[in-house]
Amino acid sequence: MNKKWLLLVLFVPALQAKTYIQPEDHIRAAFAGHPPAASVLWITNQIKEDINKILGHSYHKLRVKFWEKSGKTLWILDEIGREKYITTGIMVNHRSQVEDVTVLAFRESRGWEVKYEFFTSQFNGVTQKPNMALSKNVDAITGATLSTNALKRQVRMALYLHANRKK
Amino acid sequence: MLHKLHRYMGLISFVALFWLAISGLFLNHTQTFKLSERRIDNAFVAKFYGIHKLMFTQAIRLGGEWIFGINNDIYWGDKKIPAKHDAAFVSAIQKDNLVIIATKKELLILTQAGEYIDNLGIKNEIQKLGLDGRHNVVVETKDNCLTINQEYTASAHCSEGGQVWVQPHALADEFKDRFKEKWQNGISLERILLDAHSGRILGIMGVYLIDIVAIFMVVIGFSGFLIWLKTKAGS
Repeated sequence: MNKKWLLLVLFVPALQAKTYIQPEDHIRAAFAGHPPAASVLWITNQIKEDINKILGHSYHKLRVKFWEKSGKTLWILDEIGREKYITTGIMVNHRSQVEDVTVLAFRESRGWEVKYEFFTSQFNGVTQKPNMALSKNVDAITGATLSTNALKRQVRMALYLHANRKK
Repeated sequence: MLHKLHRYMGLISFVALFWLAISGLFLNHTQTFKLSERRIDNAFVAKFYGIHKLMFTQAIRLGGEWIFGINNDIYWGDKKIPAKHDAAFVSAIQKDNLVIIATKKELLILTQAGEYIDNLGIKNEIQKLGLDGRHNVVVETKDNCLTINQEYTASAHCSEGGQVWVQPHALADEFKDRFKEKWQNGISLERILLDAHSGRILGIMGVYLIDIVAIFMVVIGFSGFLIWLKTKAGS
């Protein structure tokens, strides 16, 4: 019994680095089986400057794909937590409020608790303030600071891109 | 009873305490001793830290530069491309003013200047990259052939024929040697000392061992204080 518990402690962290939902499956589910075609938003000029401010570093891509239907947009963003990318799907509704945050893939060995609804549901209804901060405080998870901060940055970025997608 | 506890805990943790003190002293002065600059590069360290032998993939030469993979990292000349997935390099192609790099799991779309535009994940393992008769980018996976749309945002089953697949080449040995010099230079002494100090060098059990030593130190300190109080009260 004790040995089995010890083995679990040794191996559980390694088991956590994985893809939970394929992006295409998430996109289909997010739009009730009828996803729109992908659109692209180029990260240039003022958008680039603002995104870099939100992320605290230079964004690694020149464009972002998103899916839009009836004023709702879905953004699938990658951001590094500690060393590897966390892939997150963020749905923003026509009132520019976060409707859903789902971690699609988590590749680090620690901090995977951010995938749970008890954390991601905090973002529901959140909007963006004029200074690009979130409209409400989101509690971090002890021991998963880098991952929770990465998700916060992704949500801020999604809200910003939603508001600026027509530019 | 208190004396015995103090004595035996001290004896048991003596070696660990000695090691913690010495390694701690060095770690407190990493810059003075230049610990981060001193590298240990031997087969034992490489094996212990799992520094894998550099596995070069085949390569494509575009615009005077080699595009290739080392283990699951993708390089364009000297520059590492930030791929989302850890997956081996397959091939690369230049189309219009873009460079498309295929790994086993995704397409990376870059400008000719090497700026990363976007990526497109492909569900099945990519085995080949090429162009079809209409000059569209196509990939061959284990199960099928896929055509990539003009915006590089989606793929569909191939409807055109005449696919021409890009054939990668082996990298010159001279090029590989230059890379090995740059990338394979062992682990810093600071890293090794940090891992030894924290117990991580022995894995999770080493960490727990150091935790136990820490608890012993608290007990030793507390028991020592109590012994002193008793002695003082006695005299």
